Amino acid sequence: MSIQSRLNSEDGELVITVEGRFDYSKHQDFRCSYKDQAIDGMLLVLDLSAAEYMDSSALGMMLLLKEHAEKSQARDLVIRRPSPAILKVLEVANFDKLIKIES
Amino acid sequence: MEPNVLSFLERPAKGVALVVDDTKINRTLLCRVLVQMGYDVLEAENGLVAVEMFAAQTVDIVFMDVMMPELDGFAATRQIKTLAGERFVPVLFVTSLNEVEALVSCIACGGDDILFKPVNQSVLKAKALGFERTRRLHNELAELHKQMQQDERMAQRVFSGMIASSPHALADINFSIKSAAIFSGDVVFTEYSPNGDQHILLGDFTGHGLQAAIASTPVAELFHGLTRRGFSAKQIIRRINKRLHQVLPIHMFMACTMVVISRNTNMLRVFNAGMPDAWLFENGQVSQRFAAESIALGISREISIEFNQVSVNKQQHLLLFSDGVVEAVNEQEHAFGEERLLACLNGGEDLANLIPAIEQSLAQFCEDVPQADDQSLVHVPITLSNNSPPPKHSEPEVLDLDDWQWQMTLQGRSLAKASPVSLMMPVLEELGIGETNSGLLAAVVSDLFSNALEHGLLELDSSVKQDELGFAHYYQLREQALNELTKAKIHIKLEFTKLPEPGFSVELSHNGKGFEPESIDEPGSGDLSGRGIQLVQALCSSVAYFDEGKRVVAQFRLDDHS
Repeated sequence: MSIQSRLNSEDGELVITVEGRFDYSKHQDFRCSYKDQAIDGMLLVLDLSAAEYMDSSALGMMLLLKEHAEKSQARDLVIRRPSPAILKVLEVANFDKLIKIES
Repeated sequence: MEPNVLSFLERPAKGVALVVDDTKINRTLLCRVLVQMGYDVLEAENGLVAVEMFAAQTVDIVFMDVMMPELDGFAATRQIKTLAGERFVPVLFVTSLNEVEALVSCIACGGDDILFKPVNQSVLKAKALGFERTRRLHNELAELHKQMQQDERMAQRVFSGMIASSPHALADINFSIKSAAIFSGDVVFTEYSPNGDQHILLGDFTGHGLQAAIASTPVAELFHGLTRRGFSAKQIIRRINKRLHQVLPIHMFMACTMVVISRNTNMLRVFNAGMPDAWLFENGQVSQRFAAESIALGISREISIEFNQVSVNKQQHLLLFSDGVVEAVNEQEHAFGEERLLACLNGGEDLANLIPAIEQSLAQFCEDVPQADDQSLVHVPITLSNNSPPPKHSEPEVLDLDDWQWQMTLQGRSLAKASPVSLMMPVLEELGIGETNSGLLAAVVSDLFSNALEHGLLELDSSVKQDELGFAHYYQLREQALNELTKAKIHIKLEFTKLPEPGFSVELSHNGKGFEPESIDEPGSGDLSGRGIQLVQALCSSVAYFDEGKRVVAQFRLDDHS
């Protein structure tokens, strides 16, 4: 699967990994990766180190994830290790001011 | 005698013949025949003199008596053969002995043939000429063999310089390759990516020796070059597979394990194509095996490349090995096997010397039995550190390209099937556009395509995407509408031009309804839609619409982003 989520209860993290393209074709898998997880108090990590590119529909999906994180009282949401291309897209959309980015 | 037999015997002989006999008359008679045949002759009256003469000058054939004072024919022959070394100098015994044991001794001491006294002239000539033939063949072979070894040593020096990994990456792994020949068919490469990931590749080519080694040059080039330029492991494997598929003959391929260690995020990713399981172990126990999930590289043009991803901690270690290790055999033809390799993990003690320990265990098991295959081991301590900053490569993107164009048209249901971005990415990769520029171009094309498809052709309304349900609903509508398309078309053209600045012109056109780009509102920070055009505008130096929005042309400059 190109989207995986892994619950790491020791560190209190839910890590969602996106591999390859991150665009509209992923919206269902992306939503499934977090919607049934108990995440209150957890750190939500969106690991993009294996994603090749993202487009604006992926930005929309991130906003949905952020909304979900807030509703479910997750501790925080971070985007981890985006490639330079993805980081640029995030910056252009000012998402770096919206979601924490760890390089 | 038949004419052709006669003409064979009349062929002139060449070279120096040494005649060894303690009876002068025997020597004289034999020498006369040999001179007549064309030989220059030397005479020695016993074995000792014969050895001295042989050492002092070049001799091409020896006729040896058996019983002589000082040194007999057997002992002299042994010494002469030792002195001759790799050079083939036939020694023919000339004897009146007739006991089986003595005749066997003539050959056992290194002699090549026997002539019986009294010597028949025709037999003598025939044997001498026959050995002439053998001698020529032998010397040619020896010469060729020497030449080949020189070539191999030379190539090996050049070659090892060409495929070397950088020292700082090599310092983070332990490895050993034991070759079955001068060249190894096994290769180990490692390099750091600009994002700090370490890439490690253990490859095993079919066969071993020069033919296997030669193919590793393009693999080394691609592995090191692309890793330094920030290509993902998956892209690198895809490129290596393609190249090997092009260059290797059908029966040759490369099994390999590709490893990515992200020390910043404690992640390990492994892709195994036809190698033995890679072991992740801790305290002497294998906690996870990464089995081969793909065929070896170079067999098929396209392969599915899925990396297995696990999180790791710094107590863990990774062991990669080629099948030559577990299949190494001892004198009884028993294989070394996994059990013995597992035992080397030694409960996790002294892992700094893991590879020497395995090598020692292998040596004890196999003793001196020559092995048919190369044996390679790679030991990677995970020892994660967040402290050391990843080495940065500042290699500029190589763009020694001339202009090119790529275009495609998708119609009807093929619009639902194919993503133009997925089709475009391998093209960009093939032409050497780096990961960052490819990723940004992908975003541009993806958004322009979505706009053309969703608004131009499907006439969907983005305002549906107001919340989570709306978002899902929108894509459901998109799916439905796509299935009903038959005549709708989108044409995509990607044009690379080098001058005045290297960049792309991206053009998309469709045959649907036009839309007013200006009518798309700026999104609020929480809006789920409306970012597409904005994003494209921000990434491109210019975006222009034509034909009521049915055609859009965006200019993308490469230099802006590197």
